[in-house]
Amino acid sequence: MGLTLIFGVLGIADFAHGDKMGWGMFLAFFIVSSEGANLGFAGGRFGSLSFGWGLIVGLLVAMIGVALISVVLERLVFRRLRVTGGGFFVFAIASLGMSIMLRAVVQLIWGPSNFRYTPGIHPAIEILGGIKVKPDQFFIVGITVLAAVLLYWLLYRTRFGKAMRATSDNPGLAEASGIDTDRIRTGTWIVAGILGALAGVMLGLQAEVRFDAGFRLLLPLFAAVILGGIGNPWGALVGGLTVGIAQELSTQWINTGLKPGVPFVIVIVVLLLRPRGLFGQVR
Amino acid sequence: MTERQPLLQVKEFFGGYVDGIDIIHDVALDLYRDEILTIIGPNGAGKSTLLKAIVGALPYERGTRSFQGEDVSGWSTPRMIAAGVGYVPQVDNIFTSMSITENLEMGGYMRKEGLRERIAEVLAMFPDLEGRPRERASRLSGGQRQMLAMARALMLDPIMLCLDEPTAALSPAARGELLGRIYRIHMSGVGILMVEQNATEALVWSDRGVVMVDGEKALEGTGTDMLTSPEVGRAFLGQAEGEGEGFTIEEGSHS
Repeated sequence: MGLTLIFGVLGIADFAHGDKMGWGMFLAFFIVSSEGANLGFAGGRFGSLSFGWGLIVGLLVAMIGVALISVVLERLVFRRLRVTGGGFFVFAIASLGMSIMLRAVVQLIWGPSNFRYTPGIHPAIEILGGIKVKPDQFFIVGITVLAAVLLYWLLYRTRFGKAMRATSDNPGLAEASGIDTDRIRTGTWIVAGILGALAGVMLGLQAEVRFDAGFRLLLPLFAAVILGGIGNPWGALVGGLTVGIAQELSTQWINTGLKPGVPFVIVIVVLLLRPRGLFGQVR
Repeated sequence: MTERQPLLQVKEFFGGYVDGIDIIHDVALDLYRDEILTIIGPNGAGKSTLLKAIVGALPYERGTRSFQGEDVSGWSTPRMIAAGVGYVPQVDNIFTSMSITENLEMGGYMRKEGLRERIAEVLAMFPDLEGRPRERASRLSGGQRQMLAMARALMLDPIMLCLDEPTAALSPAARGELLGRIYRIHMSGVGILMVEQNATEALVWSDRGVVMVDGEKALEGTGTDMLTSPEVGRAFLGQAEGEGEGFTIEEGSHS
């Protein structure tokens, strides 16, 4: 959703989004790990979930941290590139550079190993038809839906969100209407950073905490955004689910090693049949 | 005539998109609140560029602009808008992905209060837009889009409205309807400065007209003078030889 927001509002394909997710993942890890425990954050569990208050604090720290990283990178790089007249590809390549840099710093600090937020086995419970789901996964789905609802509310019900859409639609006219588009851009990066951090922490909770986990997810993310229609939060959600489910189901028929190729097939099919995506608007 | 203060005054004005390459050459222009002033001229004469310069949307300018007696040279568009100037660009003048109401909300973005009330007032001026607040702007017809664009610009209660070719690409019926609306907006106390290709129709509604050629003001006169001048008629209004009667036209600041 963060990716589709940046793409839709600012017209930037942010290749660093995956690594911002990685930063969110590790900032939360820092809080729940032994370093955080020394500061008095870790401990406790909510019912049958695998985590407690520590991870909630970690999530907040991650959101603030990634939002800050996003704003700093915008000020240092994107704003300057925009002033000098950089186009779509300049932004994309710059974000690719940021991606490599962000990932390298994570690796420098935490190393290349895999971590978990909470050690031990997290048993799954059986729901309908023998499908097994971990309690954490209910939490993840719930938070994701909540984030989509909040993002929708922001974009369609608030003055700031409408100004974001106006800036996306017609930046020149937005400026001529007295909208401070620089502030709107900064705000968009903050919201996208918060969403990226949330996604990173959820990814860490679901799988494992690893320096390149966000980056590995980047291409499926782009596939989800294109499938859902660029700039549409619901589209990103549905696109993400579709890509994820398609990837998992594909292993019934194809070799598991070919799984990472599935998003690309989806993107090619979508671009051929419905280039604006499922929920995208014709411009 | 009694001494009255112009709403807008432009003097010894030069401007363009690239530093050193002037598109506007030494233009002088006054607009009073109780008039509609129409700028006509051939394609590429710098009409739209002049309008952009007046609302502060041009990267380079020299000379003075003043608004309500205050020197506003170098002011940016948001500042001009806040000061009471409404601007409707020729193209891309609405937010197509947003609803009619949202377009008006964006037009009134700088309003501190009374947004809902103003939206209702503005919609009442444009019956075509009323009663369909959630309709997406992209679904409107060309004429309705122009009306929405004007409605958007009226959200901040401007005392001067700059319109860049409002009737371009409209059917003759829609052109008449729109010019009538512009006249009604003017009668509510808004000075109108517009650039027009459909010169004859626009001049009928105008108090004064200015002809621009090659970035300079070539001629200036009352709307009636313009319409009846054989010189203007032949060159810009598409009239044949012998049409129109000869009126004297005041020479512009041709340098």
